[in-house]
Amino acid sequence: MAGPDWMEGAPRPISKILVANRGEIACRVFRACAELGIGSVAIYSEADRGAMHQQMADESVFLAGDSLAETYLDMEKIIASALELGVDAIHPGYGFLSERSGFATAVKEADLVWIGPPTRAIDEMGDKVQSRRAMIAAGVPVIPGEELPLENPDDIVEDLVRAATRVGYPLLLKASAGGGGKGMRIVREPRHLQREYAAASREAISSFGDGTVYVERLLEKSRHIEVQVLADTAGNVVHLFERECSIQRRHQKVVEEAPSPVLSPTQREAMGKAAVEAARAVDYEGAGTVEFLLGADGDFHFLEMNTRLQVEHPISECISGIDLVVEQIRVASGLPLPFDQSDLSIRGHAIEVRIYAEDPANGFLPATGPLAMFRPPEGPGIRLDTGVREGDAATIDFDPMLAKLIVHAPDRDAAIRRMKRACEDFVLLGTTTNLGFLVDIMAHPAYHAGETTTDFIEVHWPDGWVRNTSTEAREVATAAEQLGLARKAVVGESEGGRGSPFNPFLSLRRSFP
Amino acid sequence: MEMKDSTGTVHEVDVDLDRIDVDARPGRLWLDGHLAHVAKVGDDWWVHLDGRIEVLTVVEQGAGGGGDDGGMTAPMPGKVLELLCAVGDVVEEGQALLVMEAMKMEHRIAANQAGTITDIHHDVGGQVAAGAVLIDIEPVEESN
Repeated sequence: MAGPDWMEGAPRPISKILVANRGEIACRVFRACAELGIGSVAIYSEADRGAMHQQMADESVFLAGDSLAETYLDMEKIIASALELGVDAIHPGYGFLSERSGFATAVKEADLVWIGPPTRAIDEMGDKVQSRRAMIAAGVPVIPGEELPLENPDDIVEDLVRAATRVGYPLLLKASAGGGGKGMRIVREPRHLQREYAAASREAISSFGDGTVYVERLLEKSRHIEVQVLADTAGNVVHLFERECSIQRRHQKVVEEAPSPVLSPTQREAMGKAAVEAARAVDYEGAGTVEFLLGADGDFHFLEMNTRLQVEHPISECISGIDLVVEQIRVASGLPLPFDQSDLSIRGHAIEVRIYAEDPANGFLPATGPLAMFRPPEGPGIRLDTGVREGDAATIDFDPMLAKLIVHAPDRDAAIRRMKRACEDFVLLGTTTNLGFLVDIMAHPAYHAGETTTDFIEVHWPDGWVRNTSTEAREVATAAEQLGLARKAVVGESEGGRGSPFNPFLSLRRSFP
Repeated sequence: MEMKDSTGTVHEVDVDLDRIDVDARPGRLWLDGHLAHVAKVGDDWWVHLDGRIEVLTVVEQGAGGGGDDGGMTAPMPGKVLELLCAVGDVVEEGQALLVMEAMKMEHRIAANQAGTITDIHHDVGGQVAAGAVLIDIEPVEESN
């Protein structure tokens, strides 16, 4: 099947893409498809019937079943659907199947184009111990630590203690197969070593089915800086500069910005080169991210490589002017990158915040509820990537991230002011979110000063964040109550009927029976 | 009226309605010239005002229950001042349909949904009780 005109001559032309994902990232890819003249197919589960991503695609496939394993993680069902609808390529998004090499292999075996890196790159980078070895071989600096897979919990005490002593305290115990903060334990004193090891190993087994843990020096006051890379099938590899993703809660990112406020041009170049080397070492193709920890001493160390599109990719798109999804598709079709490193430069400053349905005043616990009013901010340099609309709901079915708000401005100060204003202007009612907390981060002098270390939130809100309350808001609520301003649609009944894919209240009813 | 804030503190709130302006668009009102967006979910009022979002729970007994499912109702006892629609009109959500006077203020009653006006229960000058149904709307069919 032929792709759009611009794809003429491509070894693997793409005319229709199925996105094996949901939510904002599926919508992100569908928009790119529409702009490229490529057909789009969504998959959706019962909980996502009528969801934005289902409605945005040209076609959609319903996947029956109550669990993720029967829906968004069912490789066979997804590939069969793709074949049935004449799809020629699959985009995995992030999460779900995006870093399962078995899925990449199955897609290729079905004669479909995999919009992602080669299987080998996924496997090598997916294993923390293996990737560490590969990076050492490629001359990429790694975290000072003991590369010591500890496989048998009954027989490791001596090895563990010896390794820990060599690495030094404080140290970090990490699950080899880990990610997202699971299976990670900080040990500050030798007497806690065994207890924390047992906990890390248990978490690793229950989360990843692999209890292998390794020991690494904990770099405190460090920054999480990652470099976006793009590689084509002809061996061209470029980097699109760095993103600073230090502000995190529970090891999950909350605020990201590009470029980093602290990197010198020399450091930037060195880190970019290291990232390109890392990608080359595994014959990478497509878009990927090489994560580094930048220590207080200015040295940087390879952390891991994410072999997929990242949640925070929009800020790199803002400062580089490159559409990463478009390039992913171009590379997958076999075409070369239309630019090289010398064509790329940083323009302005971009910030992304993740708007979560959670309560920052209560340990960041996830919140649920209807999106009774959802009015995003507008204006120059503002982008919203989301998979929800007014009338949808935040449910416990999926990740609590509701939207990514991205701003782009000529410089960092202007970007911070723009983001603060944008967060303040966001009218999001019916579900507790972290918007107020994000406003306070943007207003914080330490953030303005660029002191964005990974412990930013714990350092500046040691006793937790407190939501401020105002007399005026109480007066507004009282007046609204007295005047009977309740919006019927919000609390109300369904007009579309239960089965209608256009019924915006369906998910609301599911969550609040 | 008693309102509980998100920290659990209950406040006795008395607001002078002269400071409030209502807006023809649903979910908006003005306090001392500041625009607020409001939405009610259950007994909770969600308020966006001056860049901050708060949720306040009505604790006064009997104040929670609405119960005016069919049409638009009088928010408080008062008098119909002006009718801005007629039976058979097709109206949009948020369109002002009726002006009533209550507590020495004019209130615009806006359509709570798009549809066709099927009935108007009161004439100009008529007295209405709090919660009385004023206008019935038959919602538009989804066309797809």
